[in-house]
This record gives sequence, C-alpha cells and structure tokens, in this order.
Amino acid sequence: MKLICRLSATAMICATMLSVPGCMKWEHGEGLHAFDAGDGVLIGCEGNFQYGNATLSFYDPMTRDVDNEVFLKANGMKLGDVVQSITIDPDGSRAWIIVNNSHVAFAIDTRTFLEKGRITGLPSPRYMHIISPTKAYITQLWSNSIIIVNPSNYSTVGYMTVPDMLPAIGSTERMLSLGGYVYVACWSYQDRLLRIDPDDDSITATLTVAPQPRSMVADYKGRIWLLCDGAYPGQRGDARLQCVDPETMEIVADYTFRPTATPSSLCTDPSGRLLYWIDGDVWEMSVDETSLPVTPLIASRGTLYFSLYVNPASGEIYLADAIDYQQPGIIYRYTPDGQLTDQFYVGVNPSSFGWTGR
Amino acid sequence: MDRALKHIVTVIVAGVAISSPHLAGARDLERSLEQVEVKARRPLREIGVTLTRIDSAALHMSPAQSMADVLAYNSAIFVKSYGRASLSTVSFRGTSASHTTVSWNGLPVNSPMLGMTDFSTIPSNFVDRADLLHGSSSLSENSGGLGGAIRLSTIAADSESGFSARYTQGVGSYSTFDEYLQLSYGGEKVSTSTRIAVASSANDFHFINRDKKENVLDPDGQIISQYNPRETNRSGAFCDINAMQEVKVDMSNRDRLTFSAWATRSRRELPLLTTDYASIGAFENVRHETTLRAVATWTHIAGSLRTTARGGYIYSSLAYDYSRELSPEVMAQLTRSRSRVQTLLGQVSAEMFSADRRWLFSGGLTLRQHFVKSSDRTATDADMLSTAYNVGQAELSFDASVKWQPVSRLGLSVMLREDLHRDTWSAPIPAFMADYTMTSDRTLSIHASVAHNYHYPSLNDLYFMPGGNPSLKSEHGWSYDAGLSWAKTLSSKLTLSASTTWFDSRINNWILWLPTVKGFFSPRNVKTVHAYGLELNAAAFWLPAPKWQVKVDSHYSWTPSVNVGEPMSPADRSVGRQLPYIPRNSASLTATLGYGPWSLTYQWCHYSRRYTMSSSDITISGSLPSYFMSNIALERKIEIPVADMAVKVLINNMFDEEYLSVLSRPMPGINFEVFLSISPRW
Repeated sequence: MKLICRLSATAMICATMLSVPGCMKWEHGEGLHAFDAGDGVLIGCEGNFQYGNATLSFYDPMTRDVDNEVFLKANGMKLGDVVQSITIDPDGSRAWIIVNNSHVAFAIDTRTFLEKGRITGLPSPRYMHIISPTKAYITQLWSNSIIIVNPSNYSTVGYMTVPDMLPAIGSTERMLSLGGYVYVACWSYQDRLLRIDPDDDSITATLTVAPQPRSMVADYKGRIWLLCDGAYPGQRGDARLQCVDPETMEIVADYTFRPTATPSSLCTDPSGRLLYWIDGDVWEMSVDETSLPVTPLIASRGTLYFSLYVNPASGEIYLADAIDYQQPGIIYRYTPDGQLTDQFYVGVNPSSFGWTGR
Repeated sequence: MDRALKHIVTVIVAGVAISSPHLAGARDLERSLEQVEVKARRPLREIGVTLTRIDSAALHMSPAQSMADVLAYNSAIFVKSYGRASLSTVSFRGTSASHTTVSWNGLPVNSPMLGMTDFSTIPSNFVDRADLLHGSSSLSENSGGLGGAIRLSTIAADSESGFSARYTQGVGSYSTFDEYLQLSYGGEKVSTSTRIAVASSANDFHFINRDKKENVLDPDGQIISQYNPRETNRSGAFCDINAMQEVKVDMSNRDRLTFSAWATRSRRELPLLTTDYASIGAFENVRHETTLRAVATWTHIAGSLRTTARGGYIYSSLAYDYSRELSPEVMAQLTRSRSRVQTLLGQVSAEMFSADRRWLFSGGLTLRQHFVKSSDRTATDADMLSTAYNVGQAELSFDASVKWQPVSRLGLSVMLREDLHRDTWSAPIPAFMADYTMTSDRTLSIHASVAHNYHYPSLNDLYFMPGGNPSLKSEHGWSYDAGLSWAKTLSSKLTLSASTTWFDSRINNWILWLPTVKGFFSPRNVKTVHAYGLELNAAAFWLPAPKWQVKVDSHYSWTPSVNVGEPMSPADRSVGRQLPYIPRNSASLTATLGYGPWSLTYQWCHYSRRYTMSSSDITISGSLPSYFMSNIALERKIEIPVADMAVKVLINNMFDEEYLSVLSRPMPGINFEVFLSISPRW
C-alpha cells in the first residue's frame, strides 16, 4: 500500500509537470480592421534590419488622428523587413510599399489599406517610379539593373542594365521624371546620374557627380538637385549639394558642406523654390541662393532627425525622430515657416512618406 | 504574480516537496548527490561563489543537443536561439550575450571579434563538466563577465579504467542524422579520450507562416481571399563535424600534463525570415567555419603549493557568402565576408594553502594575443571597395586573491585583478566575497559578494569597417549579490536542496550598435543599465522504492534589466524600461523518472514576453509572447553479453507548440529522433 502511495505521488508530480506546457498566444491577424481613411500621410517605418518589424502608419492632418500598424491591422499579416519607400499612383488610388529585405512591393488601397496586389522576388528593391499605368521602374541596391514592372497586373516585365557598373557594388536609387525623361541617381559606391528614355528603356546620357548621390529633387526651373554623401564607406570626403541642368547634363552649381556635416533627406516645397534637408538641424535654402545657409530653420532639441518630408499639398514639414532606433519614432509636424503644430508616435525608424490625396 | 509565474512556482514546489526514503542509484545520479555536497561544504576556493553545476546526465543526454539546449533546460539563464544549428547566445542576469565569458579547459573561447559565444556550435557531448558562475563570481575566471561566466571542461578517462568505447547513432525528423563516437583508454600513467561527432540535417521543417498571407485571385487577377501559407524552412540545412583528442599524463605523483584539442568544421545555411518573398532558387546564404582549439596544462603540486602553467592556441576561419539572383540566370555575390582569428594564450597561476588550511593565497598572470584579419569584400577587384581590418591585440591580466576561513563556518575572500587592454591599464578590479554556514550540520549557508567589473569592446566594436568606433569606452559597473543555500540529505533515499540569490548591478557605458545617417551601423556608449533580480534553484533526488528513482532539478530567475540612463531626446520612452530581448522571467525544469533499465526524462523551459523595442512597447510587430517548451525522452538500457546498449526516443516540442524565440525566425513543431547506443565490453 505504501509503495502504491509513493508511486501515485510520483505519477501526480509527472502529471503536474505535463500540465504546465501552455502555449504561446500568437498575436497575429486577429480581428481585421476595416479602414475608410480620407486624405492623409502614409508613413513607412523601416523597423530594424532582420527583425521583420516594418510597419505602416496613417496620419490624418485634418483630424490629427494617427493609426499605427495599419497594413497589419487591415490585412492580418506583417509588412516585412525594412520598408524602403512609398510611391502613390498618380490617381491616388494605390500606394506602393517597397519592402527591401522582404524582396516585395505591395500595392494597397489608399482608403482601406487592403492589399490590391504584390510583386515578389525582387532582389533588393529601393524605389518605384510610375511612368504609365502599365510601366514602372524599380531601382535596386547591390545590382546593376533596374527592374521594369507592369503595375496593372503586378508582373515583372524586364530589366534595364546600367553599363560599366559592377553588380555587387551596383546601386540605382532615386528617380524623377523631367522633360519626358527619367533621371536616376546611382548612390551606393556610385557617382552617376543617368538619363533614361522611358519609351525604349534606354540610357541616353550619364553624368559623373559627387560620390554617392543619395537624394534628388527637381526645382521650379526644371533643374535637378542632388545631395551627395561625398565619399564611399570607409573613405573621407565632404558632402556636396549639386545642381544639374538636365538638358545639358552639366553641373551648374556645387556646394560643399563643412567636413563634419552628414546631410540627408533633400526635399523641396510644393513650388519647387525651396530646398530642405537634415543635417543635425533642419535647413532651408532657396534654389536661387548662391551659398549654403548658416542658420537652421528648425534647430535640433536633442532630437535624432531621421527623415524629412514636405507635404505636397500644404507645404508642411514632417520631421521623423528615430530617437534610439529601437523604439517607435516620433513625427513632428511643422508649418512651412518652422512652427511646430503637432507630434505623434509611429513605428520604429520612420523614413518614408506618401500623400494619399486625390 | 502572473499566471506563468504561478506555474513555475507550482513546479518548483512540486519538485522540492517530494518526500520519503531510500537507497543509492546509478552513476549519473550519484554525481548529482556529489553536487549537493559541494554546495553544503563549500571548498575554500569557492567562498562566496554563486555556482550552478550542470548535471553530467544532462550534458550527455543526446548527441543531438548543443550546449545551448543544455543551458535552456538546466538553468535559468536566457538562451536566445535562432533555431537548431543557428546562432544561440546566452545572457545572465539581464545582461547581453557578450557579457558572458566562456572558457573551455581554461582556454577563453569568446570570439574576440564579436565578444560573444555561439553555444549552438558546442556539442554537449564534448563537455563533461559545465559550471555557471553567476555575476561577480565570474571574476574568479577572468574579467569581462558582467553577467557571469561559463566554465566548460572535459575529463579524460579515469586512470586504470582500461579501454572503453561508445558509439551512438541518431536518426530524426527533417532528415537529421547524428553520429557520436568516443574511444577512451585509462592507463596507470596515461589516459586518452577521442571523440568524434557528426551532425547533419536538411532542417526543412514545415510551419504555418503567421507573418505572411497568400492571395487567392479571381480570373481577372483580383484578390478574393487570403490565407496563411504552410511553408518549409528554407535554407536551413547544416553539417557539423567535431573531433576532440585529449591526453592526460600523470608524470609523477606531483606532476600532471593534460592536452586537449578540439577541431570543428561546419557548413550552415542561414534560414530566411518569415517575411521573405524571395524565390527559393534565387539565393545562397551560407556560413562556413573551421576552428581548432588546443590547450596544454601542466600542474605541479608541491606540498600545499599548486602551480599551473597553461598554453593555448585558437585558430578560427569564418566565411559568409550571400548571393542572390539579380535577373534571370545572373547570380551576384552580394556579400563575401572572410575572417581569420588566431589567439595565443599563456597563463601561469599558483595557489598555496596555509599549514592549517585556513588561508588560501592565489595569483596568476594571463597573456593573450589576438591576430584578426577580417574583410567584408564585395565581389570586385577594386581595392578601395574592400572593407577590412587587420589588427593584433595583446591583453595582459594579473590576479591575486586571499581566501580565509577564520572559523569553520565563515569564509572570506578578497580578489584583485588588473588588466592591460589596448595599451591602457584598467582601474583595479576588486571583488569581496563571503559566506557563512548558519547551522552546525552545514545544511544552511549564506553568501554575499560585491565586485567591480569591466567589459572591453570587441575588435569589431573598435575596428569593423565601416562603423568601428576606436574611441569606445569599456562597459563597467559594480555588482552586489547575496544568497541563501540549503541542502539536506533527509535519509538515504531523499536529498533536497534549494538556493536563492538576490543580485543588483549597474552597468555604465553600455554599448549598442546604432544606424548612422551614412547608412551603416556604428557602436556607441549609450546607456546605463540597472540589472537586478532573483535566482531560485531547487532540486530533489528520491528513491521511492527499489529500482525506482526520481530526480528533479528546477531553476527560476526574475531579471529586470532596466535602462536608467539619460533620455536621448525629449521623446525617448526607453528610460525605466526593460532592455530588448531580455525576458523578466525565465525558468527551466528537468525531471527524470527511472525504473530499472528504463528512464523517462522530461525537460521544460519558459521565457516570459521579450520586447524587441527599447520602449517595451507591446505591439503586434514588435514583441514576442511568452512560451513554454517541453521535450521528453524515453530510454531503455539493454545488456547483452558483449556490450551495453541503449535505445532512446526523444520528442522535442512535444506539445507541437507554435512559438518564436526571435522575431521572424520560424521554429520547428513536434519532432522526433531515435538513438541507438552501443558500448562494447572489452
């Protein structure tokens, strides 16, 4: 009897242990949210590399309401690893979210945030530029080719190879349309501006600029402004702001920043008369000025400005602070003359924006 | 106290509450009794030390497990694992992976490039003894272990034990094959041991991908519904080959020479994220490693003086290749990373007892020289595009300690270290430890310590291109702990033990790699961290009836690890929050029920929610829910005239739980492996 009691006790202990397993409560895709958003700003938050924690936020400037993780809430799946850019269809109906390390471009409805389609298998996508309803370019990092896609049926149509570019250090980055051509800045380990004829996808001209032109805008005179890192990784060199005449493909203005400067996120106001960028503080410069500004428009307040965006509808400035790169970043909304009007938290490392107004 | 904690306490209490009498058991179980004795009668050299000794049965449970698995189920330190044969790091007491120092037979094995150790590369069968030195106790080994130290060692064959051999073969799910061979000889003066382990797997388990959805399209290409796809773990295959040779020579009664060499060659693919939409044929993501560790130790004993001299060498070659299809039939090698690390170690130490054996004086000198060549070279012939560093770094360390037992119940220890690192002497690193036996039968004792410790930046922290930061400061801080240990043999059939330790430390200049506006990461001293908490252990060994054995070993730790530095900006919400990827609660339990030749082993571990953001936000994309994991093994020993055999069936993740250890890294569901072991009788 005593033995039976002991064995029973042993069995009870084992039963206790076996009852402990529990399970992880998976916190994905429960209760999809039905959005009906108005005009507003989509904010792509990169997340952290290899975490797969990129998110998408939506901000309504009228109501000042912000919704975070809208892609996941609407679709019940993650957006992916490192959101790189947002491109809005010309008619405002779809937003293209390029998720670099997930190798995918998602098209979502700008009102409901529901997925409309996707282009997968993209090696290292960076930016998308829509040329027509059936043609768009997608630039890439670590590649010497630009991908040609058909946005209407979410398919890859072909590739455009950049001559004299080694694939492993290849890079094509920002694009813009001007005078019937598409201009492409070649960034990482590169120093070229390409002119592409979208009719036959041929490169018709190239221009050597300062090393690593990372951001690019056009001004009201139809000139192209390039903000260049000024050096390749591991090398020394001062950042440069260069202005290019696209017709002659010549550099018509060239400004060198102080040696410690690390400018980024070049933008223009809606009129194309003002340039903005981040370099610790936020700087503003008229495209007609002949020297770099010495006084910032918005001074840093211990903030770590990560990206900058100018709303094409209102000219308001949206400044993203990544804080420590490991927590939800904060967006500061400023009037064009630098007055703070709102601030709100979004996802980790907010870096890309898109205006959904139609 | 949350529900998980209640479960843990229930299990620990259940483990301790076993009562009743009788008898001695198998060899492995006898070793666990020895462990209890060590805690009760602390040797002079372990005064004030907080030590967890992993049971040898746990180390040798199966050739399929690595030290990461052993630590997950036999301690309460946090094991962050990317899956089998993938990076697995551990953290003590709320610190980071690089704050755990690891030695193998006295040879430090932390990567000088990364600062941390990948425990998935250490087969547990290659370790005969594993000691976890918590917090300041790690200073008895070396500096740098702000969280603790793990001391791994092997034991050559017992003297005069003759020839022995053991061969184990395992076949398991996902085309997994494990082979292990050990040949040993124990002679009068010379003992040798040879071990070879080969593990390979396609590791192509299936899982429901909760992070993705597949679209169902109508004829016009419009999405009509979506579903979570059932996917196969892609690019997860591995093949690891390990070989070890040990020789022990008893040159005289006073001199012993031991030599150990351990070679590793592995090829491991790196699995894709769950959020990856790449096509399977369009990439290669693989890591190759060739490593040799060799160490020779000479020990001379002259009366109460024991002198040790050690020389060691490590060679490690790592290659990482990442290629992707850029366009149809055009593959490009995007990353071609190569590193070669060579480390030379020279160490002398001595310790001497006083005549009445109440004093123990010890001191040592350690010299390490690293030679590191690292390149992250893209596939180009343009030298300017190669990012690399090639450095040599010498490290010198002196240590001295005095341990004193003024009365039989009280032990006091003072230790001082001094390190020379990058041509700069550290401030003296002091440690004070004490313990006191509270009861005359030595069942209850208390211990306490206070220490200062430094952790130096790794070579990648300093020199990696691009991003290395040569101006980084060392992480450092004071730590305090105090604890209570109890162990009692209630009868010849029942032994119980339990211990608890409170700890508190502040670490300044915490190093984090952060992005820069130039597009790469760079390390910076950014935080001050307050890591504190409680560790609990409880164990029981019970012989309820003839042939029956019950053994339970449980661990729990509560580890708040909080950023207490200055906010980085007015919007910073990380101050006062738990560090990312440090669970507040960790627990493990291993229970074995034996009956004659049968044994049933149940392993269980639990980690509470892990935040991935410094602000401890609980968002769907940014935190990992808590999980419990259970394994079970059933073994039958078979004796035949010419050999001892054993058959073991191991079930991992026995409740087929869907879980994540790291964001976006799939983990396998229930899986099985069958092992057959044979030990010929010579």
